[in-house]
Amino acid sequence: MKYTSKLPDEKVNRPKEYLFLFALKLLSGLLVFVVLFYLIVTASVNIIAENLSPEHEAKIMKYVQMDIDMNQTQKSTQLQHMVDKLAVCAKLPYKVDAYVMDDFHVNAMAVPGAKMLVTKGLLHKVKTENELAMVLGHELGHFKHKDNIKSMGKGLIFAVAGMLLSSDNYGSLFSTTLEMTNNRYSQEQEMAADLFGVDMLNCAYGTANGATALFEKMKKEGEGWKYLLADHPDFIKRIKKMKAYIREREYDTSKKLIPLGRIYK
Amino acid sequence: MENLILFAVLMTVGYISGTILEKHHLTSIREREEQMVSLPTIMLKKPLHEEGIKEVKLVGGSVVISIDYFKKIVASLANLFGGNIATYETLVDRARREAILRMKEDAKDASEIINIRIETSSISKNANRNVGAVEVLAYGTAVWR
Repeated sequence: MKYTSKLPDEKVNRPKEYLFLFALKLLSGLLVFVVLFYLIVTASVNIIAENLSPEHEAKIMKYVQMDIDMNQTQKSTQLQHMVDKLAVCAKLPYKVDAYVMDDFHVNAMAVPGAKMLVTKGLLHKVKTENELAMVLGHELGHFKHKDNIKSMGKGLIFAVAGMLLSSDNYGSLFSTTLEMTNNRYSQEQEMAADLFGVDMLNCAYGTANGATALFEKMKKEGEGWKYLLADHPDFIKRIKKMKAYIREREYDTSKKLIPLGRIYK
Repeated sequence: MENLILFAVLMTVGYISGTILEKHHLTSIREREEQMVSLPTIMLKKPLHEEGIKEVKLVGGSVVISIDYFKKIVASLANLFGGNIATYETLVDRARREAILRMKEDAKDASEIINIRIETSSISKNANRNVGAVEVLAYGTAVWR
């Protein structure tokens, strides 16, 4: 027996492709999977939300509460009165409670639990009742279009998916990615809410005058970036769209604006 | 968002450092394999010929190589889809060859090493899952003539 010395053949036991390409292949596979998952979940949640009966919708909106610090808010009869007036036009299957929030940012929110939050910052900014009614109408639009329910439904499914995967390393990555995409209303949703707001303003006040006033004011003051951060992107486009809509619907734009009274103490 | 940034940083650091270390290690392995290729290493239980044996001794070499973050994440992705895990293959290949080399270094001036066994164990098993390492142990009987 003769021993022949031999160096290891690296073609046999080492991987045949570059690790980087190998990783790229897997990552793109994961990406395709996540995108498909996201699209399917979004589509099915939207279908379910659209077909929800008013009773179920009201139940969900009343019983699912969002974690808000209610100590930072106060009730306001004047604001509630305005919301009620607009809600008659919106024909929601539940009652919306309005609150003034101690916050200097210009913002308003429609949150689960059928709560409408308006910041003091916003109330300082608006000068007429019509302007404020437009914002409230916009938020009612989010309620009307079931945007809360849709994002809750998506959030729930993504949270479960994240939990199922989180025993693995990429689980947290997966859920973070989905969180990021989930917490925002889409631009289409914002625009749809805008147009709904215009409808509500016209329905409750008989005029669409003042509908774009707040946006224009903020554009002029260069606070666009702030509003941008508050998830309301591209509002120059939104002003245009609203104006076109008002023209198309032939809403009145000449009636006198009603000055805003005192909303909170 | 912070999670994603942290993830990207860890992946980049893991990839760069992992690639550099692996390259260095492979170069060193290839050089030493060339130097020691003349020492016969065989799995047979008995020496090639039994005359003139002066000394026999157990020799061994063991190595523990850690996995980097990049390799680990890619491996867990491969876990999702199936298929061979290329990032582990390079690691285990290096570990195996390094263990054999260390065993050969342990048997300086021997005529041959017989009855070689190679064993591997994964250090990360049952431990904190953030530790990922492979141990390879090679041992055999060195024969001096």
